[in-house]
Amino acid sequence: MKLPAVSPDAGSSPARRLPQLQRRSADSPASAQTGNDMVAFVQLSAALTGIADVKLATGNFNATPANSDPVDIRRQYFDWVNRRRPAVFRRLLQIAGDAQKLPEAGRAQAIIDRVQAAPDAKYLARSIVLMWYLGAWYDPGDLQKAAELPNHPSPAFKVISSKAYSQAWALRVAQAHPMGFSEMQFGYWARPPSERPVFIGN
Amino acid sequence: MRSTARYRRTTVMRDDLLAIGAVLSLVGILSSFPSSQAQARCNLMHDLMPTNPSNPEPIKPFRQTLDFDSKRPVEPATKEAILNNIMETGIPCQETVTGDGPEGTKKTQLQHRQRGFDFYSWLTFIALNSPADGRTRIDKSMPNTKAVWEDRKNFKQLLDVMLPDGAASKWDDPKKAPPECENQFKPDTDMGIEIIEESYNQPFRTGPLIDQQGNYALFDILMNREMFDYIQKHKLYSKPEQQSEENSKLKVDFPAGKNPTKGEIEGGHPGGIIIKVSWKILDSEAEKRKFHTVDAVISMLPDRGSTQRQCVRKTLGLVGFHVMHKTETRLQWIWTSFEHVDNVPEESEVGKRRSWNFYQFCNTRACPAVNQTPPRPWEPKPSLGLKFDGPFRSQIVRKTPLTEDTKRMNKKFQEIVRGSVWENYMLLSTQWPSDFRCAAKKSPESGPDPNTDLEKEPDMNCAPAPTFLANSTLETYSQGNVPLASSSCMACHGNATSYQSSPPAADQFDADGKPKAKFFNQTDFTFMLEKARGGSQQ
Repeated sequence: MKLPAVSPDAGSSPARRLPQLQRRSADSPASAQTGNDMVAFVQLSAALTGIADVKLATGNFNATPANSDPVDIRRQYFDWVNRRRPAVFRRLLQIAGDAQKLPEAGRAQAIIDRVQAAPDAKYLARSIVLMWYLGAWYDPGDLQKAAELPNHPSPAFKVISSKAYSQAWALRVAQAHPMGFSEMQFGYWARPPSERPVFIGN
Repeated sequence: MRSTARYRRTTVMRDDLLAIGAVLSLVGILSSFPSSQAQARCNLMHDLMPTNPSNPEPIKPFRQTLDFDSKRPVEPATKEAILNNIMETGIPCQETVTGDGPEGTKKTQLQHRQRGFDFYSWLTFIALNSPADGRTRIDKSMPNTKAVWEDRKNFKQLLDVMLPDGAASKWDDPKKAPPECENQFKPDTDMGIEIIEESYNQPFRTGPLIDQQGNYALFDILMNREMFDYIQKHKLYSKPEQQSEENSKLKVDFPAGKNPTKGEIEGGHPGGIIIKVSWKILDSEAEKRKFHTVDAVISMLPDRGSTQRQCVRKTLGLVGFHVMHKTETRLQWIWTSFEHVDNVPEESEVGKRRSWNFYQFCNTRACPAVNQTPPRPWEPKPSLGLKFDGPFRSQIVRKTPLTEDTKRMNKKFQEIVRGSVWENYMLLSTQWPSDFRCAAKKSPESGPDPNTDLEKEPDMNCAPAPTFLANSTLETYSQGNVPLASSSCMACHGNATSYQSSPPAADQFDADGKPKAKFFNQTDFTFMLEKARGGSQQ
C-alpha cells in the first residue's frame, strides 16, 4: 500500500503528532518524508539508547517541528534502516507510536518491554542502538546468530559514514568525544568535563 | 483569478513598504548614515513583512518582503523601501529570523531560517558597503566610492589597534601610514596596508592565492567601535597585558548586538562586528570598472637580512567580504560571506570558455591541478612588487555550490543595487548556530553582559548551519565537507586563543588539590588577539 506523503514539518510538535500515527500493514515501508515516522523513530531511539530525543535530533526538536537540524543524522539512519529492514522497522515505529498514549513516566520502559517481546524486532532494535552509539551498522541477523549460536564469531560491522562516525554517542556518554572530532571548547582537556546529563540530556 | 491574486499581493506589499517608508520619514532621521560608533537606530527589516516598522513581528499570514519569483522584477517600491531603510538605519543590530514562511512554499524550518539569515546578510552587506558620506545611496555609488566600513570613523584596521609596541590607542587617533609610505599616503582616500604573513597567506598558513595576472591576493581585518572599546578596556592590544595576572581571570566575551525594546524604534546597539576582506590587485582600467576599488599604499616585507621596507602604490579590487557579528541571540556570532561573481567557477561551470579572477578555462592535458597551493617560497619578493615569482597562477574551483535559494536571493538583491559595481557581488551563505537554546545560553556564573556560556558541552558551536562554509578567496584551500578539516567558520574560530596565562595555583586549586576555578584563554571566536604585540617578541 502506498502511503500518502506528509510534509516532514507537518504539525507543530512531536507530542501532538504521534497519536495520529496510522496503523499500516506490516510490510509497508516507513517514510522519512512522513513527519510522524521520523518523530516515532527519534522517540524509539531515545527509549532504546537512554539519550534524550532533543540530543539525538538537535535543532529544537521538541520546540519546533523536525527539520531544523543541519546535521540531520537521524534522517541518514532512518533511511539506512528502512532500506535494509522495512517491514520490521515499520513494526518498531508502530510500537513507539502506540506508546505515546501511555503516561510519560513509563513510556520508555514500555517501548523497551514491547520490543523485547517481539523476537524479530529486538535484534533490529539492537542494531539501531549500536548505530546510534557507534555510528556503525551491525546486521540484526548477525547479532541474532552471535547471541544464540555458541562460539559464533563477533559480528562484522560497517561504519555508516564520516558523519555517522563524528556523531556517534559512545564517547559522548563517557563525557568525551570521538577521536579526531571535538566540538568542545579549546582547553577542555585541562579540566573536568560537564556532568553526564549535560551531554546526553538525561 | 491568478493575476488578481498577484495584483493584490503586490499591492499589499507596496502599501506596507510605503507605510514603512512613511514612518521612517516621520521620525526624520535622514541626514547621514549612522556610524557604528553612534548608531542610534537598528535596522529592523527582515525577510518576512513586519507588522509595522517598530515591531519586527511578521504579519500573519506570512508574506515575504522580497518576491523571489525569478520572472518578476523587484517592485520599484520594494527597492526604494529597502534602500531608504538601510540609508536611515544602517545594519541590523540583531537578526530577526523565524522558522516560518508563506503557505505553500514547501520549505523546511531550516530553509526558512536560512532565508532569514541570508536576508539579514544582504542588509548587512548593503549597509556596510553604502557610501560613507551618508548622502549617497549604494545604487548611485562609483567603483571607488568610499564605503561605510572603509571610513575610519566606523571601522579600524587590526594593525591600527595591535600597535608594534603593544601601546594603547584611542578610537579617534588618526591613521598613521607605515613610515616608508608616509610621503605617498593620502589619508582621505588611501588605504594603508602593512604586509604581514596574514596579509598574503591563507588561514593556517596554507598558502597564498595568485590571480590570473600573477598578483598575490591580499587580506585585511577590521573591527568596529564596540570591539575596539572592549580590547582597550582589557588592554588586550598588548601581549604582556594579556599575560597579566589580572587578565588570567578574564573570560573574553565581546559585546553582543541587540535590537531596541519591542515596539520601540530608538535604542539597541550593534555589538561586536569584525570584517575580513580579500583584495585583488588591479592592473588594467577595464578591470577597475567591475570591482569596488580602493587606492592603497602597501608597505612590503623587507628583503631577507634587511629591515628596510619598500612602499608600493596599487589599486585594489574587492573580491571577498566576510562579516562576523555577535548578537544577543546568536552568541556564537553570525557568519556572512560574500564574493565577487567572477572569482571562480563552481565544479559544474569549469567547462565554460571564459576566464575568472582565479581560474582559467583549460581543456588540454597540461591543465594545472585545481585548488593547489603555489610552489614555495610563498613570501612576496620586494623586488617584484606583489607579483608572484614564477609562472604559477591559482586554478581555483568552488567545491560547495551555492543553494538555489541563495542564488534566487542574490538575483533579487543584485537587481536592487543595479547600476553600481555592487551588482557584481554575491552572498555565498550565512552560517548561524541552529540550536537556539544553546545559542542564547548565558553562563550560570554571574558576569558582565552578554555573559556568554563559554563552556557548553559537547557542542560549543550549537549546531552550525550550514555545517561547512568557505569563501574561495579567504578559505581557498580548506573547501569541502570533511569534519574538522574543511572550512566551518564556527568550528575553526571556536579554537581561537589569546596569550592569557593561567591564574596562580592558589586561585586554581583548593587545599585538597581540586580545581576550583576554570582557566580560559579562548577568545570568543576571534583570532585577532593573537596579533597583540609588545614585550620581548614583537
